[in-house]
Amino acid sequence: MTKQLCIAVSGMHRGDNPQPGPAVIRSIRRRYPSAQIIGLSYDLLESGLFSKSDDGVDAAFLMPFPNKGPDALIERLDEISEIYPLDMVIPCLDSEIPNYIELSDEFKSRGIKTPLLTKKSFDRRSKDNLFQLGKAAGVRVPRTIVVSDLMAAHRASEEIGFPLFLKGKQYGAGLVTSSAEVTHMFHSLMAAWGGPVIAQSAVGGSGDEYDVVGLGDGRGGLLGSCAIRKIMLTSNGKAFGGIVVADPALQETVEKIIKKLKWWGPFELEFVKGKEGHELIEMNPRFPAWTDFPSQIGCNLPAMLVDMLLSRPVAPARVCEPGRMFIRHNLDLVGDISQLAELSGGSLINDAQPNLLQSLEPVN
Amino acid sequence: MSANRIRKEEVNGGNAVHLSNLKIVNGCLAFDVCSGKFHRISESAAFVIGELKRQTPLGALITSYSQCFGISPAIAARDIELFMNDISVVR
Repeated sequence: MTKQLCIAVSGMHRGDNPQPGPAVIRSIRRRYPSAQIIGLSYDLLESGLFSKSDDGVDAAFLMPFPNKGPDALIERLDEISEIYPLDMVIPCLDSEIPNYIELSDEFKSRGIKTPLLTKKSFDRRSKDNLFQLGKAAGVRVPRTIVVSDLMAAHRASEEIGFPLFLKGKQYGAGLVTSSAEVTHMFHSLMAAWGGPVIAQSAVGGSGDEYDVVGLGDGRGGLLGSCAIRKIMLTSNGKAFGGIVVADPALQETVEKIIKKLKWWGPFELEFVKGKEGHELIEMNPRFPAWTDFPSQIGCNLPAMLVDMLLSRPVAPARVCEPGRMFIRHNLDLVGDISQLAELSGGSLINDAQPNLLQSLEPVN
Repeated sequence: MSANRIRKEEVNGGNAVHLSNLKIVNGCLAFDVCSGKFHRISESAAFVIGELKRQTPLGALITSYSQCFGISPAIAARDIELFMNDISVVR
């Protein structure tokens, strides 16, 4: 009898700035309906913990924040593994990845599979190195200056010219149109995320935003990808709706980046269309929150990642048909105060099995 | 007839639309598979775009257009000319 797969996934909150965890879980269950899913959570109120649907978890555990470092992470995962022996962990938040990279040998010795991203690749795509990456790969990136203090932020803004974006190293960004706004935005980014702050030129042109989710094979190749134009955006610029595009120029740009980085595993590339074509504004080292959309049209990248981690043959993903689209739909989930009480003790075991949707893979 | 949603400034934000990338959906929507933009269009605009994609010669297009919509060839020719001007950045 085959052992039931036990997979831990983080990033469980689907708020107005949704995290990818539930979408990754839903995709995995399309191919592995009986997988046991463990949610790794940083807050009692992460919405995914309350889902009884196919994106829900079998159990959830509170985790130490990433800034506690790799030792705290591995210690907690060891505790979890005593109850639920983990086969793999799929971190879904940018801030978690450095700890996972640092612990790669520890995971190997424990037989726990995690994405095999290297520190070098991870660092090269960070916001402060993105401009250099663009240069090396032959891809347009808006002019970027990294700043550590307010004076430098003002100097960079003058140099780049208004309007421009100020961005936190890992999260957060805001458009600034004047020096006064620079001061305010710089302080809020520093307070929320710490330094440095990245000043990035706003892209002129149509301003249309494009996102690409994909999976790199670690040798410079692309195992699958899906490109969308964002057709609905939240107030903070997140995709609330998107439509598949088939643009050979965009595809070529994506392939150049992945080849240059020899990227292993999931990624999300964010572009804005400028006067001279697509400009890369960010590369995220994980699946995006909309990753279950391509899974529903035959391009199940999270399930492919599981196959890769298990060293199973990975069939190339189906090409997503242009014109297929998604619209996000928020629902109210019912919880109970007893769940909060249980989770505040560190873990939550769901008695009821998630209402698994069997054979969710699209039929050819 | 008008392709009023396909304005030059919209399609030409640095990137003109290629006719070959336009897909007419249900006769009322022009979808650019490359840029992901879509535009509501009239039945007559859908007809003309469809014929242009099939590379129908202008003379034949005028004839079929006038027959389809029950108008004289002269009016059809003017209508098509105005439409072509309107979408001149579509190539």
